[in-house]
Amino acid sequence: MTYRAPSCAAAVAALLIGATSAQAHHAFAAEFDANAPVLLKGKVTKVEWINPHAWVHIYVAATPDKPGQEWMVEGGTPNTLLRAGIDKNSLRPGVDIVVRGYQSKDHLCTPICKANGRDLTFPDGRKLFIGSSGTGAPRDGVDPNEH
Amino acid sequence: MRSLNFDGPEIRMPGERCIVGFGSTSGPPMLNVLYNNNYQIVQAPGYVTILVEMNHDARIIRLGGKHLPENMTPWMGDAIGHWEGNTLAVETTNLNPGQSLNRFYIPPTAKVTERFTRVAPDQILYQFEVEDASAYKQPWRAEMPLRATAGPIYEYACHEGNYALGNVLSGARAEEK
Repeated sequence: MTYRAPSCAAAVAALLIGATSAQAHHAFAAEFDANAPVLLKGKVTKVEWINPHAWVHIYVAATPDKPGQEWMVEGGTPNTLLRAGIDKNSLRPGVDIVVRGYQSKDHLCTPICKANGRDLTFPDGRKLFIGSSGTGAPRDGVDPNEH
Repeated sequence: MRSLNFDGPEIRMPGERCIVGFGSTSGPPMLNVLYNNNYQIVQAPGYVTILVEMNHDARIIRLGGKHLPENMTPWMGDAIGHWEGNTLAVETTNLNPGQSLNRFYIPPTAKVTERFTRVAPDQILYQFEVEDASAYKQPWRAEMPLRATAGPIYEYACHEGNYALGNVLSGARAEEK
């Protein structure tokens, strides 16, 4: 294919088209902060089984140093979770979990802190990867689909 | 560069706003993305409809007829199909300018011709050609097999929980401080 750019702007756009797809809804970097990893331990309060991403709400109990805080953690898409055998009953309110993830870029906790989830660990040690492969999330060894 | 502009929701890519799928999922041409790469083809008298799971888009291809006037540019363009033996040939024009930079540069003046041919009980060969004299010196083509899947197609109500759009804008505002 021979590409003939009609204008400078289009030429620049064409070069960046590879990056454009990463700038779409699945751009990790546009929404989350790779330099703000979080480790959250608490009880599931609810699961939003919605598109385009499921969100797991978890209440991290107060400690002597910090007040209690509710977090919402972004997981994968219900369609892909369903096709992998996970449904909205796989994670029930009241279950204790540990979540690894990255906080939202805005670091805002009003009303709820937000993070992109990488994986969950259940009390029995089972891990569940809930991230979105191929979206530009940090290569932290958590994604089983990453080679 | 539009994708690096976070001034407001309207400037963001159609995929982020859940208007059409990101990438070129409904296209045309129809290209795979990370997931939801499923299509349901429904044939009815006078029409072939392709339900594209990403992004719950229905391409309605009318068999025969004339294209819409130039000033009408629906999302996914205007598709007219006809049969050539066992091959459904679909010609799409009147593409919406908002979709130009979805994957490859396909301007509103382009003509995309797709061919669907069943080559096996569980396989359709999908071929397409993009022509636009203002952008390309010659037409370019690609093809990929579409394989039948047993599972259902799911609704992908993209915008019902589209926190990302708000979060992306909020993150940009935070960075400006």
